[in-house]
Amino acid sequence: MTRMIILIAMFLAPLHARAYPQFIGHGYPSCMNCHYNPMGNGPLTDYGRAVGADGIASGALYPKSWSEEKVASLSGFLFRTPVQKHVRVQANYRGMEMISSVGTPSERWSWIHMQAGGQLILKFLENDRLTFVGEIGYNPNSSSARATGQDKRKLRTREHYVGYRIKPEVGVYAGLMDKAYGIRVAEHIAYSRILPELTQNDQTHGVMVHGLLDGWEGALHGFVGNLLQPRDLRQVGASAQIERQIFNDHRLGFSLMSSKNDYVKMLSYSLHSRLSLSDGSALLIEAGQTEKISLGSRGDRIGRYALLQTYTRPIRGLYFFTNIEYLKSDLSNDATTVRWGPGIQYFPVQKLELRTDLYQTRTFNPNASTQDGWTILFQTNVWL
Amino acid sequence: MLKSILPLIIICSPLASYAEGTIQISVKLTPAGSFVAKSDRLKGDLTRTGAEITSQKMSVSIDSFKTGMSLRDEHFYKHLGYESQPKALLSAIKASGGKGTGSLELNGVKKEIQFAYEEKDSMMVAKFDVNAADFKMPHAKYLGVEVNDIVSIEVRVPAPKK
Repeated sequence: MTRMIILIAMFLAPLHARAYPQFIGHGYPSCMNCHYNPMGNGPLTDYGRAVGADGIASGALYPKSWSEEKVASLSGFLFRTPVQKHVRVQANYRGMEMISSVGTPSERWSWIHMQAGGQLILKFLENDRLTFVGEIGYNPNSSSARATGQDKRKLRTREHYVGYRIKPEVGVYAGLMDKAYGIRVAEHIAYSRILPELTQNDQTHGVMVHGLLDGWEGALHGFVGNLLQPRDLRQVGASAQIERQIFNDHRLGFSLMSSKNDYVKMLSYSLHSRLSLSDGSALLIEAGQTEKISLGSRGDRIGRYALLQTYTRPIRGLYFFTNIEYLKSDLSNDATTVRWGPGIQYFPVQKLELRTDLYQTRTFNPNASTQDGWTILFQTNVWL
Repeated sequence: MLKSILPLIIICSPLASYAEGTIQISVKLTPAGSFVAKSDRLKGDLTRTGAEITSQKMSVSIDSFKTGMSLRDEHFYKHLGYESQPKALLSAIKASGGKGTGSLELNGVKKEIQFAYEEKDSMMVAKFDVNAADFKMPHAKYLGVEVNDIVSIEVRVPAPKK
């Protein structure tokens, strides 16, 4: 069962990197300097794009005569410096070559369009206190649709919201957004995203209040489900995430989420920590549990997960990382899954990310024997 | 000549030391975040006379600071007036009993400072806050992210021996 969940997750919720919480290692414990959504992900602010150009991407391929200011000036849409302050347009594409079941007779290579979308940002008032953010993207055919000859490709919006900062420390956001919960790691196949149902297409309409105060940062999010979904499937509820800054640049956090639809009631809670190891290196840790109570039929279960990610930056533009995950999708079941693997993330120039992940997945089950699963991913991410 | 001054050096060495230390400037950002500008090129002489530690002058080159991001380095040097005054100078330093005074010269402005310090593991660690506006630096802001004017400074130098 666990193995099936993993396989389904691999195909239905492909990697879709939108947030980089490990950049706490660059002295950015909060996401809101670089993202319009203060909890991270989605379109980058002008500052975020400049940080991407100068702090994240390698500078090795630029002419020696170029200053960092010159590099930053190219971080706008289509390599141009914005000439007005109210409208921003962004576009991005992410695709990957996935090699699954490596080394077995069923080894398979496939290119997956993970994301191809455009974003429009409108911003007004002093310090961009009022923002409108909208995104629309291409939703590729799922593997199950391809297998049955169906064409389920369509355009899909994963976020559209209005945000208003009442004061620099407090903001209110309303619309379609990701739920405020846990660490928004880039990997939507992470168990910490799958179990509490926070994957690529789990955004919800709702209202979120975000605040910063003396080393504390948090958000309260009330939501009514994705209004584009059938009513009976919409998860209605609330979530909260709070982080405390400790020892300068480190964060310790707690998340809680409760929601229900016509079929299932969910309660998730987690503890997490983001530790800055300086000069771009970081450590991310999260452990949590999700209780799913089936309404109307039997099948309640409690699942548990843990995540450990290490990021090391040997030189500008290059990150070595390790991903170690634990999943017990049902505490009443003996099966436990551990997935781990190293990876390399390289930003050769601004607006381009190349990434390689290697995953080994092993299921420990005293009642069954399963072969280890090996997966290799080669990702390309381009943004304009 | 060397033979004649060697005993003098040996006798005086416990009392005075040529310090090569580090200086860290902790900067907070608004709406959130922070960075540390760090240099290990702080140079000067420290002398201990009884309970008092003094220094005529300590200096650090502005362009020796690293903030972890090249663009931020460029902005940092420019903001601290590197072109008009390439070095930050600490002078007339007097310290005893965990407290001290001195003068900080930066961006062409000289101003008295007060600091707290402690000695541990043969190092002298001094801490003080500086308001950038006192040194005629404009309020720093870049693409919507602001730098708080008040920064915390930590100086770490080898303490002269007792």
